[in-house]
Amino acid sequence: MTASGPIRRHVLIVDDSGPARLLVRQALEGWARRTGQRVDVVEAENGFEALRELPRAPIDLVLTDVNMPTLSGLELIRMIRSRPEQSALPVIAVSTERDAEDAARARKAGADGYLGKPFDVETFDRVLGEVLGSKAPEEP
Amino acid sequence: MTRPKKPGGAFSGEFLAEAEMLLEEAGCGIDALDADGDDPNPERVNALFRSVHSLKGVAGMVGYAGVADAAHALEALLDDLRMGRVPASPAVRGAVREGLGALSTLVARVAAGEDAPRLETPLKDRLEGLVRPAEPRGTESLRLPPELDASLSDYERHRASEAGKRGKALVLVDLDLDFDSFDAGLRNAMSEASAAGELIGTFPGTAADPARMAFRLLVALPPGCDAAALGTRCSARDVVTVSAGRAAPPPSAAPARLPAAVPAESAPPEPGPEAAPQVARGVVRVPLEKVAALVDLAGELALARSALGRSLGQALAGASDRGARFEAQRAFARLDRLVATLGPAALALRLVPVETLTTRLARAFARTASALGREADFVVQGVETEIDKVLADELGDPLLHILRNALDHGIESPEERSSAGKPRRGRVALTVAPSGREVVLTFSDDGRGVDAAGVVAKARQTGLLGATDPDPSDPFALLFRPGFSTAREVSEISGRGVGLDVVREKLAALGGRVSVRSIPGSGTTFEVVVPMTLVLLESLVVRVGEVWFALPGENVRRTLQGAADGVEIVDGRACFRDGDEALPLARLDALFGLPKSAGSDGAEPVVVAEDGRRAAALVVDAVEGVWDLLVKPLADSVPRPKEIVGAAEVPGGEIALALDAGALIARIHSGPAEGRTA
Amino acid sequence: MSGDGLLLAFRAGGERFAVPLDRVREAARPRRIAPLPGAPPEWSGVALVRGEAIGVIDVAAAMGLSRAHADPAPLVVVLYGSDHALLVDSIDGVETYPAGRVAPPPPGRGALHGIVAEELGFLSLLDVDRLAARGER
Repeated sequence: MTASGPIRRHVLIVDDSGPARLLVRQALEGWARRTGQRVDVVEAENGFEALRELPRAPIDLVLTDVNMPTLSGLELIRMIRSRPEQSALPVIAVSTERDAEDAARARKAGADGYLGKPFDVETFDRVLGEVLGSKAPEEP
Repeated sequence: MTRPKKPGGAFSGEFLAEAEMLLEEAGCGIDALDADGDDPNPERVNALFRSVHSLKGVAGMVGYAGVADAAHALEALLDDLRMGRVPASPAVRGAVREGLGALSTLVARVAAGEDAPRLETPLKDRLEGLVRPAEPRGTESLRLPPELDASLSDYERHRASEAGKRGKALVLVDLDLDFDSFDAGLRNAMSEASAAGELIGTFPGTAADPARMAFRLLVALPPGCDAAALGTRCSARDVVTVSAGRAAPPPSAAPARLPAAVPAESAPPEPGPEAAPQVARGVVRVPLEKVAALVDLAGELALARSALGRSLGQALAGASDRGARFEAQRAFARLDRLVATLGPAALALRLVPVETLTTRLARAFARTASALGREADFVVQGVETEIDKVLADELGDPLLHILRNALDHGIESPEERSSAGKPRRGRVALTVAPSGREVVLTFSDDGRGVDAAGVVAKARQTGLLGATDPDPSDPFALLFRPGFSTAREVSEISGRGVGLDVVREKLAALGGRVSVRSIPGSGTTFEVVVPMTLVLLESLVVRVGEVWFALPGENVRRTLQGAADGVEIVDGRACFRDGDEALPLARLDALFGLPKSAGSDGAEPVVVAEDGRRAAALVVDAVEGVWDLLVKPLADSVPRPKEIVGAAEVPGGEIALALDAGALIARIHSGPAEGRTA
Repeated sequence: MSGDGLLLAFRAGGERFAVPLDRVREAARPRRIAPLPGAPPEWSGVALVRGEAIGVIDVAAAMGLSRAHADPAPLVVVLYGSDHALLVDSIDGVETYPAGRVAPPPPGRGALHGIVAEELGFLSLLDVDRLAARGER
């Protein structure tokens, strides 16, 4: 291994749709390539799995679908925000809407950023940039 | 790249699977909504909204803008419905149904290979005339704790306020759960809450210990429902009643005065807990790919078991300790039994009641009948019969075709039926029954039937049968030949050029078969037989040189060792005589351009393959055996003859290339003239 | 091809090749690769990897090198985003993309993104999509 150690992000993708998870994952991998970072992706199919994964792995960013059965994305974000150890974790809500109202709803629940599906590369990069800033994740 | 250039791109398969599942859910949702009438179960409306919303999302992401637009229009209507902005009137429910129908059509067009299907009239325009908005509603204070009130979503606020108007109690159920088992506890509480009333939302609670998970459920309970009892069933830490239900009628008490706040025309107050909780208990939904992984593992375990059995047998043969030998054999026998039961148990996870398929068929039947001006009933028996989930999805199209065919060509117009002395309403009965490892679906209509002599005459006229060919023993089999159609005119419903041959091919691809019988004047019966599961395929494994092939057992009529004496030359072609049939014969190695094997001396085995329509003989180097194989499909992009459809591991580690018997037989029938005098 | 990613480098037919690491699903040693009748010579056949049937492309044969000798335990690199795997002789490991040193491939060298001159010979950057597409009809 001769890698010079690019920034490594641990990202949790939450979506009940397999194709949607795949597309978000690809977008994320593209973003990582463009910004010279590496991503380790953990996927969750629902809010329950996400809540279970969060304390388990060192997650730096959550991308969650808003519209999921049983435990919706908004309910998940509210839960994340209520946990002291996760309260500062960057969360991006991913939704089918692209209107300001839906974005406001996500922000009210505690999301840091908002992505309307389908998104293009520029929007994806911009939202991730805004949410993550330029700071590298804390590495042990 | 977030948006593939070609719509669907690599994801069109996933899109279709997901879209069909969502439409299926939505279809069940609207059926349930119709059953609810004007006072729908809010959780059902919300689930319907979510299905259409998800469909819009996945269509948009993979680039099917036309589907996404239509879903968007329907979603807007459903949002109005769930937010109480339009009433659940029959007109609105009809509009929802119409919207779902339009979406199904679009998805079917994607499935048929269209790149960018769109509706000619935007769905929005079609829905507009049907929808009458309700009076706008005011907002009022809900008296919730401020931190909870601040985090309510619009929908949650609407539901909470609606519950208050209907005299329901609002309660907060506080859960304090252990991290290791919180999901089970939360799921249980959520389903208890939904069963007792309406679960409006899930919120964070305050955990005493940060290592625990605290949740707070906001629940609307009908009058007379005991909040404390719900708390006990949820294993709640605490239950807080935010607002008490109004005028809860004491059980079996006299005053029969309606609560003043409830308008007289609205639904009567529910007696006790709301009827018919929709929560299936003890049912786990598992994604199909997880089941497939388990089935694969079970299959591989079975392969490992066979290999172990063989080597154990050899090792034990030389062992001198009889006690140890006995113990090893006994342990292996036990393993053998367990592994043998694991496979079927894993496969059973894929099975779903055939009802998921027949409800879809019933809806399509009703639509088609009204489009054709037929009056007919569709009666289904055996809906509890189980079938592979994948098959239930895949069978939709071919079975719909059979149903449409029955309505289009079988059932007569009401007038024609009356004058023939039949009831005006026609009838198509579907009976589903398991038969061993197969499922038999029998469609019987009481229509005009098909005349066998007419079919033969038509086949001669169109050249499907030569003038000198004898009448076939099963004339109805001609109906499934490409190019055969008894339609007198091209019809809108059965379509042009899409005949029953497509149905036969599709069923054959699923390992199934179809046959038809008919009595002129009184009706036609289609019998469709499909395997109960798609995964394990009993296969004949043959070898040519170093290459192994697998042929589905159901396509093998017989194998004969050293059958050179059955070979004769007819019209300069090598033919194999099987009983009174002369079958075209080919060497498998020559067919696929493999090097000719050394010992071609006429002593090799011959396999007679058939596909329900015709048969052919195949010369191979060796027949290796019959096994139940896990056949894995091979991607289209891997270059190969089209007769090779997949690959499977044979016990012992060899890989057999799976053959499509139908395509193979067709290839042998059409030549290259193998064996023709050189 | 990304300009800043990592590569998986391997050997086939005596030469060094590399593919983007993010296209690599896994390296596996299937028990058998069954030959596919009628396939172009660079396709060595079908392998079952984790129960999936995968078409295997012989990198050496595809690049016009002497065909890898029949290995009793063939080594394949399974790719994401295609239904294929690459048959290789051995794996060198993960390396950084040598930005600035990549030269365009010489004409006629087949499905390559570029080549990198090394102390002993060349590292050829494979265009995996084009490699697989060449066999398709």
